[in-house]
Amino acid sequence: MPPPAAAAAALGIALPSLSPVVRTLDNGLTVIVERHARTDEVALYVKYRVGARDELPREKGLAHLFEHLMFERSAHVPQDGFDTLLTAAGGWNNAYTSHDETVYHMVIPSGALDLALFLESDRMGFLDAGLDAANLDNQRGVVLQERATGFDQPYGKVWDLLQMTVATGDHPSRISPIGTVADVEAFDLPLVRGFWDRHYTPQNAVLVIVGNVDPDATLAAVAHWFSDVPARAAPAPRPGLPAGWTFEPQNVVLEDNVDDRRVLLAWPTVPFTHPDAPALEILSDILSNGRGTRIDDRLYYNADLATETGAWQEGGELDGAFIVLAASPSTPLPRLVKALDRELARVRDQGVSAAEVERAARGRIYSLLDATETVDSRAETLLACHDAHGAPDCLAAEVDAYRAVTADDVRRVARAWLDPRRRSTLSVVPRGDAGALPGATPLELP
Amino acid sequence: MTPPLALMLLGAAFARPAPLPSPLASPLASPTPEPTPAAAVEDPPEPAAPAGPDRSAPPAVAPAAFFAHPAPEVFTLSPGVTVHWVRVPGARRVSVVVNQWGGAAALDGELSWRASLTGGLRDVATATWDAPALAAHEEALDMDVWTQTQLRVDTYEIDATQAAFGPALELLRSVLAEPTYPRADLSRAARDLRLHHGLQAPRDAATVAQRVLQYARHPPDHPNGRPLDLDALGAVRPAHLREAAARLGALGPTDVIVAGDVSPADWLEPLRAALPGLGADLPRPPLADPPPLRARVFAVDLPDNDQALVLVGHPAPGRAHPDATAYRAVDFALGGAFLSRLNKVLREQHGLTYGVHAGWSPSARYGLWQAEVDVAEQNVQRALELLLAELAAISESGATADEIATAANDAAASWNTAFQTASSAAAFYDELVATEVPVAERRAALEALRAVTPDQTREVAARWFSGEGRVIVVVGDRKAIEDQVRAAVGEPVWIDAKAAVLGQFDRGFGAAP
Repeated sequence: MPPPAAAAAALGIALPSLSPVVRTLDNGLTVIVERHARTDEVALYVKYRVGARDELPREKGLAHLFEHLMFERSAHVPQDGFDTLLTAAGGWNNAYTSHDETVYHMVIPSGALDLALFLESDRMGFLDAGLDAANLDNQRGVVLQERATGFDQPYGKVWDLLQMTVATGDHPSRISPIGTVADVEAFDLPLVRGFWDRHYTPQNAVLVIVGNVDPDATLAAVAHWFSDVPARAAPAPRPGLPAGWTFEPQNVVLEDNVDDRRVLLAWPTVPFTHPDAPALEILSDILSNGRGTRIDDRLYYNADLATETGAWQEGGELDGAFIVLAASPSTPLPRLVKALDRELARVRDQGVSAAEVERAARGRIYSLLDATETVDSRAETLLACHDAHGAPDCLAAEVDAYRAVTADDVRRVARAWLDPRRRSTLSVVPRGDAGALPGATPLELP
Repeated sequence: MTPPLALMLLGAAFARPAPLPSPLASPLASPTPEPTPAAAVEDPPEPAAPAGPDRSAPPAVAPAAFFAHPAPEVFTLSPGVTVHWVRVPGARRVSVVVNQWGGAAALDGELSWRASLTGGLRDVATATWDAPALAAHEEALDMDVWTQTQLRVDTYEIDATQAAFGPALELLRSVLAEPTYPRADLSRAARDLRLHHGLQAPRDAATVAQRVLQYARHPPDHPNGRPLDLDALGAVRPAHLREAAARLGALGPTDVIVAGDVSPADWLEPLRAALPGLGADLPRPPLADPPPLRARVFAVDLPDNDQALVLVGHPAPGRAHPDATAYRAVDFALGGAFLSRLNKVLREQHGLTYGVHAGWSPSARYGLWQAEVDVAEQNVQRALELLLAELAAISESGATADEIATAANDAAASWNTAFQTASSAAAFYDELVATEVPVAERRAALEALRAVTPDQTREVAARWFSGEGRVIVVVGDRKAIEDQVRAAVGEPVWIDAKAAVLGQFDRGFGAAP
């Protein structure tokens, strides 16, 4: 049998070269451009530094609803023109809103770059002319349907509830970006306009363009189309963790339209920029990433305890969460937790092997390299690098960060962050089922 | 009067695109006005204000040309085994797709548990690599091997970096020649299938609706329409799978797609070594067409749901049908983009749904068109009426010139992405080889979209969206939706959710299973 590690070591890892150019326009907009011309496509990302954690009281869901309004109309683009014009040119687009950011992204043929810049600059500079009651009412209905559709799926409420068990108390990221029905129903135009004024300024945005473009000509085109987008008042400082905020462990249960049970353990951890983040990510892959990883082998491959397992380190801008999951229609949840705890204790007490760390690090590095292949994922990578490192080419730094993680680091972060007394648990059981963890109390979405 | 969208995009009528600043200019400075030439006037004019972009009309966009993708180079590896190679310059990975024609239909006459498990578990362990070693080998070398048995074809795919291409071909050889099917993995797979089909799928409205449409399209004796028998899973043994794996390689010819920045010198001999004895010098085994769709309405009770799901299926032309090109424009007008008609009406105008998912799935000889929409349970009747009204409207008037132009541009943009990665190129050529259409012929068929007229789309839409053969499936809480369904589309056939997933209901073909 060929020794895999030796064969892999012989391969080495060649980093693809990234060559982004960065400029800041007079109005404060940061622009990142890179030529990547394997096809005729161009990916364009616009990130606004606003997310659900920036919402004020009675604004829960406004960052996401605002994302919808950005597609309706602006001063020089008629109703539905954004999508209609872009689609007619052969492009597609979408957007997403998280606790930390709102990102608009598209892929277009290179011949449509000026159209894309016209559309993006118009809604950045002149969206207020298109903010009207009819569009607000319509998108309110769409968002409430989006919320209902998502929550009606099996396990559709799990991640938003889990977030509430980690971001406890007055944590600014406690409520899901989808918001609350009460707040969404009460949004009015002055509130929406105020949100745009506060957050949708060029100083608060980053534009990334990757594809079959000439960087100099593209920067000139960007400067042209955004030259009449005025700088507005600087955005207010973003909310951080409240002074004195402390995590309060929760033990909660969700009764849902499901036929099997699952349990999730969650610890508050570190933001994606924290030095411990790479070691926590590698720990998550050592625990659960297919055959040969600890939880997957012990609960799924080598025993009939669980039908689904998982482990993740999710890092945001403020903090993060480490999550472990196990599911089964027959194994009682306390037994699943006991099995999970045994594996976590083994890591804390005995550590992990260098081979496990190497395997997990390689997987992370390979994913980084694959993300440089398409214009879309490459643009997203440059944007993520800019967020994390302040520079769009962080591939070498990210690879070095994973390579630098040692088995001792993994054991240390497990001890530091995965304290069994400092975690929340979420049981998910069928309606009327008594199989939740002992002492679990019902938790509802607001 | 608003100029047609196509004209606006071309800038022919009203669009006056602003001239771009020269790339030679200071890239981020505001455009500077040209100096006013000296003139025989006493009072020089005031300096003009810096010109901002002209926002009076969107910039013109010329229709994208369809790239002339190369025809793959064809090699006969051995009798019955044909390799189609295409170079993807700069790609990090190499993708290989092996299609052994025959599949489950030639093996068992249907997609049996034996056939699907033979494909699904083939890449778990081999005589050379046990299961943990095989997984570690794939991860260490940054490669994926994936296998699947479908009704007409047995498929193996490998995706590896150039550096790991040789070891990947060796792993492919082992997976093809010596799969072992460990008992524990078979047992676990059977357990997971029972859990999925027996417990999880009946709770998921979209899965339930899709299964009903699948079964409504095929009678129980068609290979695609056989009911699922979960009890039969217990009778499958590793020896059955090893025997089936050995037979699958000799049921028909084999097509291999190789895509990546590699040359035949890199793969020809290793591939020959990896595929010994594979493929039979036979034609592809045929599969019977299903009978024509019959108009029916089904409903499934999911009593605890607050939302309801509506699924509408229509018979559609196959890719080789003379209507196919014009039909593509009709399909795009209905559901091909974010603001196609169905999404525009149900989401943007009425706020009834987060989104309508609609589209055409053609095989070579026949196709299916479907639209799926998730709505609050009190809006089922309204959603059904609006959806059917849009289908009626397009069957009477066809697509507009703007919609046809947009469909053509979308097709060109999609076509032009084929060489994004090795795997996208492999998938592109795999589909062409599977449907036996030369790349130039497919390109010509898509380019023909630009010549389609609204009259042609009207004729085609009238033929395919008249309501003949339409199947409607509604899934939701019966108490909330029963009267609405009856009012909108008449009395449905009610099905239990588990029976819907397993295909154990009367589909109206004449004989209940």
